[in-house]
Amino acid sequence: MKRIYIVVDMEGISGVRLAEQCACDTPAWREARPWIASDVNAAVSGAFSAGAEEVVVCDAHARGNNLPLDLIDPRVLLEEAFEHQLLPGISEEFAGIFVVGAHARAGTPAAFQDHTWNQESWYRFTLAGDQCGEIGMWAAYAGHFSVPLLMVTGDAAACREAEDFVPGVQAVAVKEAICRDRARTIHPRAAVNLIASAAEQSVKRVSGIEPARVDLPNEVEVEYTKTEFADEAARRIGAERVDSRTVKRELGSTLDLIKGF
Amino acid sequence: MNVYIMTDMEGISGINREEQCKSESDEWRRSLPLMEAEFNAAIAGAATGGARRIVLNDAHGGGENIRLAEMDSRAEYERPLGGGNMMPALLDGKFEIGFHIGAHAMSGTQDAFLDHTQDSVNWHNYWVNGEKWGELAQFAAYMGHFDVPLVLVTGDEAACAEARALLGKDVETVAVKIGLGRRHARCLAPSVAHEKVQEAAARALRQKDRIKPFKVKLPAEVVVEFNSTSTADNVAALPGIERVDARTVKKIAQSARELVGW
Repeated sequence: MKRIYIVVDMEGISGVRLAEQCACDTPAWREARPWIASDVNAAVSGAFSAGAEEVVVCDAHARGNNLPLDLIDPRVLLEEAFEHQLLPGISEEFAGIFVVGAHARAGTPAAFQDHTWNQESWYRFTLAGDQCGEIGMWAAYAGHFSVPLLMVTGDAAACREAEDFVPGVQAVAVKEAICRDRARTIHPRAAVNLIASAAEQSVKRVSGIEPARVDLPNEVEVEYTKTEFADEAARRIGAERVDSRTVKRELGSTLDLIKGF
Repeated sequence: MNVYIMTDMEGISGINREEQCKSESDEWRRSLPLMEAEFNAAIAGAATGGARRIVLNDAHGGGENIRLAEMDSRAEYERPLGGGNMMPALLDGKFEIGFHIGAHAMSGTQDAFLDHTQDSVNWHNYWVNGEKWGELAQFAAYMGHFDVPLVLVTGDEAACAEARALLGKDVETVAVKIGLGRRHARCLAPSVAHEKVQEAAARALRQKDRIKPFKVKLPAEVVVEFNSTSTADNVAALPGIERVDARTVKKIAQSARELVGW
């Protein structure tokens, strides 16, 4: 059975063009929720058209509960990310993952809402000596199960980041940043066909894409915005303090990418 | 001899919780006597050491951190001019030496109580001519602009170490606490701290010639790295600012007055 796993974030959803639209429980966020459903449903329909028999959708934005269920394609299974279980339901039985609504990593120029994991406390995340964002984290996590990243939707900067991390990935740029908090976006209804056809193509030619692999053992490092966050992370078992704001951990399994940070 | 006293709150003895430094909070209001007493200790020490005129600049959070009725009457009070002008109003009189009472270490210092530079939410790093600076170096440079040496620094142990690294080992320092991580500190009893601050202030006046005014090389390259790209977006939209990367901006300061602010 062909299964597809879809991780959903909000910053890179079509129609989302203001920072406040990503802040949960605000009126601006409520207005933007249907657009998440529209982008996700497009990806889901593309996956089913390409022969998928099961699609799991994971809500990974903030603390979750962003998907308006009444508007979501009823054929999918829904789940929520939890702490360092980035993709709880992923397994070797999936043919590929999509990231819908992606944003670029912290510190990317010309990117809408660039950040990595926590915009208040994380300044930079490094995996195996290279800077890594959430797209890379999800690709590496899925790679642990030999599952490749097949498609990404988001702003142009997120698409560039995905193409760097996973050559050959299908990338759908639905917007471009004007500054960090403002974007120029295509209309959510115009995004439907783009996303659906990219999703379908990516699943049809799945054999061309390699799963992301991390050589193990390796190192992961977080530079925090403030010393106090490093004070806390440095107390946990296995942490090594690199400098006032930076903490490093040995990485024995890709499933522990952000564990302890 | 005329003495100019810059002040801050994070490095005052007895201050060991972040909430105490939040202006207008209950914790802050309860902490005012600690600040007043330590500022008064510095004023008394300066007076004992022979100061003729003493001006105290109440700089934490823009001022209003002490009740004037509680201030030693031998000093005059002022607060920062505001409106982006960070330079203390040293011009209005001739000063021979400066103090910095209640200092904290620069952003990114380990085991420093409430380490930050300028703004603990938005600023990640601050460099002048390639050297990483904190607020201490800014104050020293402001004073140096008027040929006033910064001769006494009090605060936590990390701020004192920063002062010695910047100004040389002859600068008088009084460590009234030691940072245990960013949010905790082990403090001297305030009465002991006040005694030490008063003694050091009197001693600093006697030894003032051992410290040279701190001069910044001009024009100076000022680089600020912010925590968020959003802040850099806003600052980069102002005149004279060059964008270095997503979170970093640069400008050229022609005078010590331009070291901070846009």
